[in-house]
Amino acid sequence: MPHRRHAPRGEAKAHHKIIFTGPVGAGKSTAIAALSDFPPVQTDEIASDMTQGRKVHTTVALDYGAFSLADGVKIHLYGTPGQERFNFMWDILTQGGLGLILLLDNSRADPFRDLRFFLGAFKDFIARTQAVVGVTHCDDKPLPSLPEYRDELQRLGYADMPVLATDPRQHADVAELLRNLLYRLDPDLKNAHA
Amino acid sequence: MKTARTPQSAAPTPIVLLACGSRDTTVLEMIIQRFLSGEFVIVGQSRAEMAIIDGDSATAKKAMTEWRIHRPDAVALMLTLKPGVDSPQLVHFRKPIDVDGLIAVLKKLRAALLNPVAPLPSFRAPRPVAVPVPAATSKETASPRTRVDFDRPVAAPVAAPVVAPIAAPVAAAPKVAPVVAPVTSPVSVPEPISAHHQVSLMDNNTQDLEGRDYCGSAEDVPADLLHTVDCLRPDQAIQLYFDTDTRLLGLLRLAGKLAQTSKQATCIRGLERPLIVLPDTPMSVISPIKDGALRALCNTSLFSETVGLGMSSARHPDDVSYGYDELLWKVTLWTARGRLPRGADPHQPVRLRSTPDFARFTATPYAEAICRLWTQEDGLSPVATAARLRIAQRYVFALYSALRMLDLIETRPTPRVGESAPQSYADAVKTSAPKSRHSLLQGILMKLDNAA
Repeated sequence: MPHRRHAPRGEAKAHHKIIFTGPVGAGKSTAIAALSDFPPVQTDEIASDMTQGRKVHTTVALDYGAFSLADGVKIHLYGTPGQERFNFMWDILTQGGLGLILLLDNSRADPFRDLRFFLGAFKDFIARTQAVVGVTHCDDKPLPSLPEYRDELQRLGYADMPVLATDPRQHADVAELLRNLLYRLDPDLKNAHA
Repeated sequence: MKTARTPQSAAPTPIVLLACGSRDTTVLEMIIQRFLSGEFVIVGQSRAEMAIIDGDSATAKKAMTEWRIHRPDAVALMLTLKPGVDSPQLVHFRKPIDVDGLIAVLKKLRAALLNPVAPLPSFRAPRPVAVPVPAATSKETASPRTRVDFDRPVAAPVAAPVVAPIAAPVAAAPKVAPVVAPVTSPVSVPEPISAHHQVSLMDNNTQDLEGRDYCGSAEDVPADLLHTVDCLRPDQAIQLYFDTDTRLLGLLRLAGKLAQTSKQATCIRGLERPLIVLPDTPMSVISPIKDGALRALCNTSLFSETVGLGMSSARHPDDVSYGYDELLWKVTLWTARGRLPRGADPHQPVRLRSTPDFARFTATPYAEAICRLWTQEDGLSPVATAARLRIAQRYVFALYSALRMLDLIETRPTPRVGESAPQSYADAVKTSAPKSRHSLLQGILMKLDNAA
């Protein structure tokens, strides 16, 4: 009987993922586009049900982008479907994830409710990894302010979770979010110019 | 005899997922179960009247060929990055999968099946809209990898319950008492594989034999959190433990014990096709169920109303013979997917009664290194073993599960609370700093900084 050995591919071909989540219209697709080395794969369809009125198109599938590191390792960027009815996919999506970037749309009626919802939904994943919060659409609606977000995070038991105002169209803004996440994951990291 | 285009209108349409990766399969399965539960039911190929095929997978062509042999007139929905021309029997759906679109297409296909007079409509999912990437970040224009690579168990070809149940002959059999006869395919189709061939468990080319298939892809549970996992809470326990009672694994073990004690062939009935454990020396199993379907069954809850044990040695023309121990080993790996059997203590030191013969049993990644540690006098616990070897816990847990199901493990008492862990464990944890992760994160940071 032939004896087939299996290469330990768990490490060799690990699937390094960063997860973007947040409510409909928060800018997940755009943020992934800002970081991805190639035009991200996404499926924006005419919005239906709860998303109507918020934006014309919304993601009902998964956003996917990626960038490659100098050594060829690929970092995959996944955006969760914004609609809550697809949240059964989230557990699978987060498997193997390095960390979570939560984008919140400040112009929504109750962004703190969104904050609580997503922190609760990804509670286990955050416990295993780390998360940062990016607040979008601050130009449209400046309140709640970032200090108010920090107070709310403190109340929820995430006192040290970074929260930043973010324009997901700007690479620098999204990169700063990711940079914060990296430092949360490993405080010993050194920046390139150190 | 039913034809491919005339399913019973009230019954859900039986559908099979072919050539789909395990993660994709899980997502498709969840979509169908959640949004199309009354309209579709996922079954094995022999019962299916419609197929979903991953057109971009390496085995797509083979799957399509087999599907055509099996059901020449039935509809296949091909998920693909590059949709071709639709035909009455082949409908393309563009990837990435848009859930709402897929649901709509499946509903239309079902409607067309229920109304065979009307021609099958042509479907084409809309082309994905790509958000333009800022010029500064568009460093590549290569085709993106669009396949969402989920990893989960594959769909379950369990037959529907039919025929009057018969009392089970095993008094001790938990949750598996009623016996039902296997369901036959609604259409008699010649199998493309010759009958009565003895196959090696290692030689199935249709199986993806990477470690992931046997050990899953679960994340490590931090050693300190392992103590707090509450086995009674499904949300916590499912990450670490698997249950054997309601799985094929539990039935197979039970059938093995029954065959051994009664010296009679014992049949697991109620599956799509029966599995018969023969009380030979060494014990063997015969069944027309091939590896792929067996693997799918391993991750399916088998309900007592549909599945049970019985005495039977009725042969099937397509029977394949497996060694009992080898099959039990493999079924355990497929069921465990890198987890421990419920009740196992991940901190309990392990010692092997005997080293498994990896010429017979599927060797999981690091299996020999792990076994070496477990044959030493001061055996390590599964958690300490993973830390010592600096490997993912899933590799250790998977092997532990297989060894335990074959009664090859001799466990030792867990260190008492307050008692220091064995030195080797402490050393192992201390020396397992996540250097590879540090360099990975450092690499990401460099990428961001250089881009800036």
